[in-house]
Amino acid sequence: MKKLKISHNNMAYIYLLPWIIGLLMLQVYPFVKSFYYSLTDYNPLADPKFIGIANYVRLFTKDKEFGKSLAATIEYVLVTVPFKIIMSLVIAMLLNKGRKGIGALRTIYYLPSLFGGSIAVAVLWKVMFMDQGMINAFLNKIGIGTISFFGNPSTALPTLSSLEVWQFGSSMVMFLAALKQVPSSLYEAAEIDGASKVKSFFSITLPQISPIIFFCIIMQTVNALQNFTSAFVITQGGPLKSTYMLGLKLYNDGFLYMKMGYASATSWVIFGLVMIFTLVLFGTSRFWVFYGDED
Amino acid sequence: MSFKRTMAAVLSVAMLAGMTIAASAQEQVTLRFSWWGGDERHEKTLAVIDAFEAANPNIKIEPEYSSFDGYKEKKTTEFASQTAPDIFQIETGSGPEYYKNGVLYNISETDFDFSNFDPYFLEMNGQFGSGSQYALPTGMAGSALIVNKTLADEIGIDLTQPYDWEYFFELGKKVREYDPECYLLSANTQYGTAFFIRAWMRQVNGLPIMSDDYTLNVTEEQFAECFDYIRRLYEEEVCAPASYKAPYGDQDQEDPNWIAGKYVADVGYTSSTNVLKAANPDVDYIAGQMPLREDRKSDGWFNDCPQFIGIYVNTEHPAEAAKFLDFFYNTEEAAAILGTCRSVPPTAMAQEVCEREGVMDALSREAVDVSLQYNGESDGGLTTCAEVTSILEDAYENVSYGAMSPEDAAAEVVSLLNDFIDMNK
Repeated sequence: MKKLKISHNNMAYIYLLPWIIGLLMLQVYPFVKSFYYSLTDYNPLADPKFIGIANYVRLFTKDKEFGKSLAATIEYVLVTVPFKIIMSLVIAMLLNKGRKGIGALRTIYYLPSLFGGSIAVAVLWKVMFMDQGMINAFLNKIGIGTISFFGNPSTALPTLSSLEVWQFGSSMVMFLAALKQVPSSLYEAAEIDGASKVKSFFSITLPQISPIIFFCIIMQTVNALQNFTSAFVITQGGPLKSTYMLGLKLYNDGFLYMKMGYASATSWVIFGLVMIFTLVLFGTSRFWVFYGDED
Repeated sequence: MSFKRTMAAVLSVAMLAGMTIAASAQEQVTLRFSWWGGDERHEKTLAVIDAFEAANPNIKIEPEYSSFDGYKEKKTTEFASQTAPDIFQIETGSGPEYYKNGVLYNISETDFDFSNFDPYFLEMNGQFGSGSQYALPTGMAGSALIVNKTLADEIGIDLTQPYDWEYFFELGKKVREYDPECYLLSANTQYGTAFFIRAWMRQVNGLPIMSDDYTLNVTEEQFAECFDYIRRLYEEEVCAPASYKAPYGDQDQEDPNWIAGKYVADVGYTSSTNVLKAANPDVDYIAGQMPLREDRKSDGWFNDCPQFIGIYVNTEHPAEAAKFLDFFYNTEEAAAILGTCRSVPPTAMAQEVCEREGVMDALSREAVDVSLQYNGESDGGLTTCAEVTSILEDAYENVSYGAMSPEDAAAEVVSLLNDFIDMNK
């Protein structure tokens, strides 16, 4: 029997084929198709009708909900991302010590991230922050009184943000790994030179782990811009549209009002926002991100 | 011999044909049936499915049930991908949209027996002006004021006599004076919109807010007057604060103040009486009368149905689907099992069975009887479609929170409704 000879390259492609097929079918095709739909008037129960850029014009000139939705989304990003990064960095530094039981502690702090954007966690959050929930019971006990977290437009969005911030585990693990890579000789030299802990943190720790901070900010920004689950499950976008983020608007336009073309246009606006945020971050990175191979 | 042979051949063919017919009669058919509801409805519907399968061993019904959250969105996806279940429950407001989009099978073309239904009730519920039955009403329902009679009697409030909309303010003041923790009305945004905007407008104009030919029947001034009434309801503390009610959505039975008996009445539907009563079973309830304008063109209040059930247009087994619906609606066995889990049943036969078997919920029956007194007509259609409903609910929320003046909210609603008309007409 003659053995079939396959080159290394071709073998690699064969192994990659399932992933490539998945990428093309589940990512590239919907990506391209959604752009086409964004240029159509498309009720999912009928054929799409090409209308050019009318959906985009309408989004930016006529749709009052879009402005509110965009503002809520950006506010959510601006509240969530910095708090999550700071929280995960602080916890990572606390856990970057050789104490007894530190492994168990690291696992416990990482656990919330495993739940991801699950419905169960969103429901739990809702119950915790209800008027009769655990948080208000505590606030009442210390004399602050009941706060209607989800009934008040000014507290609803920060409460949703707190759910995202609570799931800081994945960033924390990355910070933990980055902190371990900082050479201890740098701290020793700084100590000899009389630098304080705070000075060491700002002059050694932050610059050394800045590539990881940069990466985490980008990933968390992209995640926050696409938020859907918590707004859908907990507040349905209310009260007064204060948590009506673009992900939820897209969903309602597409699946509730059956305007799939319009929803596709919104999805491309979200994509545009992700690009803008990412480009701005990349643009500023040369001022504050330090790579080891630089002079 | 040739005659015998011919006879033998004919008999053989007849036997084979008979066997083929028998085999096809026994062909296994599987139908999917989806609905939303609470535990009680799920359990009773599953029991009806079991009873149907026992009587029709060649038809299997695969149940798909859930709460209402996401139900409509799931149906949209299923229609788009042509994977909708053979039989499905339909929200009343979505019925006309589904009919318009051609996803409903014409049940009039099946062997379904309509003789137990009142023809006028069928015409008004599920024909969508077509003259054919595209969906079947699951029961009789309407807006309702569910009154905590125990508390009302304590305060000295009577909602069993005809009254006008202003009467709520007088009663609201009385309730707050009686106990500052109590309110006259528990009203959420969703049900409040149907009660205080749609019904109000039907009384004012005798017409729905938007006709099916995309005519807007309400002026900005009329909206402003209605929104000003809603503003007063909240400012004068007739209704519990909107910010307090918001986290409970339309689940009034989950509101701890309802459970604790702090409201005199709940603004809702006849179909929600069961859950409201179950949330606080320690007090007595009655169905209150509904408010009426003196200068009304119509009573506004009407009786229609809480949901429809329809057959998917692309089903491969319309005859079997109709057979199941026939069992569901037209057998005493099913009527006795279902009781009032979808409000008061839509046929006199099923109502009699429920009374006889003692499964007719008295409060549901009473609430339906109250709604039957009024001469309003259903505004199901564009007025109740998801997008228009959302515009009205946003206005209700803005005014109830005091975030917008009635005049500004009215101007915005008219602008948004005209925009909706431009987009869709």
